[in-house]
Amino acid sequence: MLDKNLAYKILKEAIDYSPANETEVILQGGKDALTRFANNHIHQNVMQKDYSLMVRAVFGKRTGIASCNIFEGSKLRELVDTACEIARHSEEDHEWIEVPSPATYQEFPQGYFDATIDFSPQDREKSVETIVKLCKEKNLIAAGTFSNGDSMLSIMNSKGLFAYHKFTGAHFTLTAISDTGSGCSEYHSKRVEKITDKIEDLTKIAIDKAILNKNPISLPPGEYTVILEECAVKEYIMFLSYLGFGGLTFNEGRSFMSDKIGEKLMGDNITISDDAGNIEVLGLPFDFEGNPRKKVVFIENGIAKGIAHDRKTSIKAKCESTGHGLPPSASCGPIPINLILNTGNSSVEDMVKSTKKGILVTRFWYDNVVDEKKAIITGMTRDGTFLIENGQIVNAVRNMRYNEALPDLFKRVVAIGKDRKSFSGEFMKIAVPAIKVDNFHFTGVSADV
Amino acid sequence: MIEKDFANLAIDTATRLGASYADARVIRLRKETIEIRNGEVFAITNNLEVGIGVRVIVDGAWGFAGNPDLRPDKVEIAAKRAVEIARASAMLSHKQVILSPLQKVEAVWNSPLIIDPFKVSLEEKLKLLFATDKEMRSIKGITITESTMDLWDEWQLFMNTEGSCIEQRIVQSGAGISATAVSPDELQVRTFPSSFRGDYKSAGYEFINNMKLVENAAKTAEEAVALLKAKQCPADVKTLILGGSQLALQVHESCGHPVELDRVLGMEANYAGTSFMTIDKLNKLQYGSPIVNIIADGTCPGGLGTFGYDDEGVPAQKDYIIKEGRFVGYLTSRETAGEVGRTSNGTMRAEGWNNLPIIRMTNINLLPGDTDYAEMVETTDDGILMTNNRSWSIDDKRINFQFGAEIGWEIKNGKITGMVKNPTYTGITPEFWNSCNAIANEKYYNIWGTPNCGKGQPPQTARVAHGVSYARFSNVKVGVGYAG
Repeated sequence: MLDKNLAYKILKEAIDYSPANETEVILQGGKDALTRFANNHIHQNVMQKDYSLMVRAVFGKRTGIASCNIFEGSKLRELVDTACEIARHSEEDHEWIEVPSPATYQEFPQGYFDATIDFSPQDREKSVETIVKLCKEKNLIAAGTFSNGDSMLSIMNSKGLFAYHKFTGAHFTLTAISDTGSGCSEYHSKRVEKITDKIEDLTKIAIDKAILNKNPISLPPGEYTVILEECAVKEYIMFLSYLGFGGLTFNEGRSFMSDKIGEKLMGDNITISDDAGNIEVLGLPFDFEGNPRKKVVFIENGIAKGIAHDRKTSIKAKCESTGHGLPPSASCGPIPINLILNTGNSSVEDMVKSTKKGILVTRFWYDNVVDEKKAIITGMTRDGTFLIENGQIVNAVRNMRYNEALPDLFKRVVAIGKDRKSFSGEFMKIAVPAIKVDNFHFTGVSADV
Repeated sequence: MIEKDFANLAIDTATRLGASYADARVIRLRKETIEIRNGEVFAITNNLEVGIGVRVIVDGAWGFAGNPDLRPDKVEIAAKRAVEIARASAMLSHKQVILSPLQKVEAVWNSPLIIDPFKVSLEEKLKLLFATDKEMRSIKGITITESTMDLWDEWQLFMNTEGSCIEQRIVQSGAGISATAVSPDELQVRTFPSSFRGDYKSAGYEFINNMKLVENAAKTAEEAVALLKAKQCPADVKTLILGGSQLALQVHESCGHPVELDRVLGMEANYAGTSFMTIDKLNKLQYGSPIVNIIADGTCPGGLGTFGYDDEGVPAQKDYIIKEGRFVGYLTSRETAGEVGRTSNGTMRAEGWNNLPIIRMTNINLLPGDTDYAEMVETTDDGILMTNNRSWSIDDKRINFQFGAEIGWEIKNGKITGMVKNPTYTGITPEFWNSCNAIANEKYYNIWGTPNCGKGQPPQTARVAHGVSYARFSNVKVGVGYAG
């Protein structure tokens, strides 16, 4: 791992060399190893290591960005020269705001664990062997991944701001497959032993689902009460973040939150926030502009409360940056990436028991935006969809397509789980409980061909 | 040392440590992105990536590692890591990897171009994008305008233990414009020539010069504003005519992905899913109507999925996937082709140096038919025409899909009668393609670049393409998603 001292040295060299009026330098990267298995054997197995240095040079209000994954000696100077050359030949960005001054950051919980990065290909193989053995015992086929790695982000600018943070991550995903259906399981942690210590239990979750998911029947499209397990709920929180909670979409009137702060948009029982310091969704203490991350509540008891901002969007919204800036080349503007949905007092078991007729959804697949402003999403169920009658699961059902306007959906939540599960994607970390929703709109069914 | 020495060093190191097969790819990729937003420079970025990826077979199993640092000791470390990883893979490998036979290749291949886009001045590029942006912003009611340009220049050296040595340089260019109109209750977007940052080709700056961005900017913006007041697309069963990037994406999602043999064999089951186009259906399934012919063509000039050789050193090829409606072929690799008794048709590609090659689409093209587009409209009693894509979703076996387009045009009694907003449609893949009753002729044919095809774990993005004209489908459910 590129440590704090070396990061400082590289960034300082770039800043010192730059002739620009203002310079901002971002160094990020790390190491990732991933063992991929399918058909009960390892079929892909990779190790990736890479760092990238991005330089933003500013002359007046003209900016230029250059990045490269080789930045030693003359290469670093060439990179700065390229950024400056672009800036000199560019047009003015009238919305440019000068780089921020040095800041102090909150002390976040420990996020880097040596055991995670030391976990070897042989260690991963041993875990995969256990997973495959358990699946084979139940005549199931295992497909999945076990990965571990580390990442760092460091920022420096010409006003003297310097920030550095590093963290590790370990990830397990599994699909257990039978002749007629499948089940899934996943777990993410900064500590690899959190996965290895319970690899059998995690595997069993997918196995049990796959065994239950057999001989599916077709249900007609229509409105159903649904119980959405955590993996399904996390998709909706991710889309709410992209579509509604960011400063750029909000300022431009593209968000369902635009001009609606203070209005009731969801049910009383819904509170959604972003908190990078929360251990369940632990992130970085600063954003890509070097501003401190602040906790933001977007929806509180159903009422629209706040928006995530970077420097540029905060000025237009006449507020302070909340520390949600992304890299300078990101055209989507600030986006919250450490999201939490509040808990309730129920559980999936309780929700099933209290359902006369409904559908249990394990997860969704290929969710995508139908309507940006209304936050209408479509997608398919996957890896375990079940019919509930009189408080019991009575049958597996064929995968179904839904179309839902998310703010409306969160008005129809009638029960919320008391426990959250944490998910860590490529970009976002999300912690959510399961929820029960009335009048969910299924609009189609998959078929045999 | 030069790149060939590094590739040789990687291969030799891997072989010395026990690899029965090894290949190395040295990549130098330059990318330039320009984005103008609401009349301001949003970002101009120039990215350079360099590195070596080493892929090996040890004890019949795969290992892969890369390193950005082209120094002898670092290249050796990458090779050693790949071997170590392969040994771990072999501990849980139920059958040996067998590669389909391949003659060694020594070649240099460059994608054709007239104007090197990296030699065009930034001022000239900005002038074009600012001009289009200004045209769009001149239309009353427009809230957001975006004009973008993306350029790639990728040089690659491939070498393997079988003696192949291939140098390729592929230059790709593209641009696009987008106008957004926002009201308190809704948002409408129009793009030109295609959604999601435009259209792309394996070509030089001449492609961008011929795009007519400025000429189409005002019309694009006017349509975005008009959509706010347009009639909602009805929820009904109708005849559907698809064209442009919408038909391209339909081919991509419902034909391109399900014929990737790795996903058919279960290798993508945990992530992207599997496929309904299983091996038992090869040469049997009537995928579409007899006028439907779809080819995988890595050789067609200008396609974003065009190359000389894939990332296993297999020559680019042209193969039928669907012939007269019948499912006849897969996209294959050297490892998977034997499962269907064939040799690789050259579709293994990796994103950059740091990823393992996997089966990817090349240019998956719906061949033109013999109907004139005007005749297609004239012979439609009750239909909707959709072109630029806005939304897409398909299940994990590629059977049930739903798409949305930016704009729809209602057709009544052979005439386009008006604009509809929020057009969507849904269907079941083989039912849909079997309902295809007309395909427009070559006059309307274009190969649309799709620069953002995602697949694999770790995730990789590939640049692929789809040649299409217009196609007409009967009894399609339209207007889903807005019915309540």
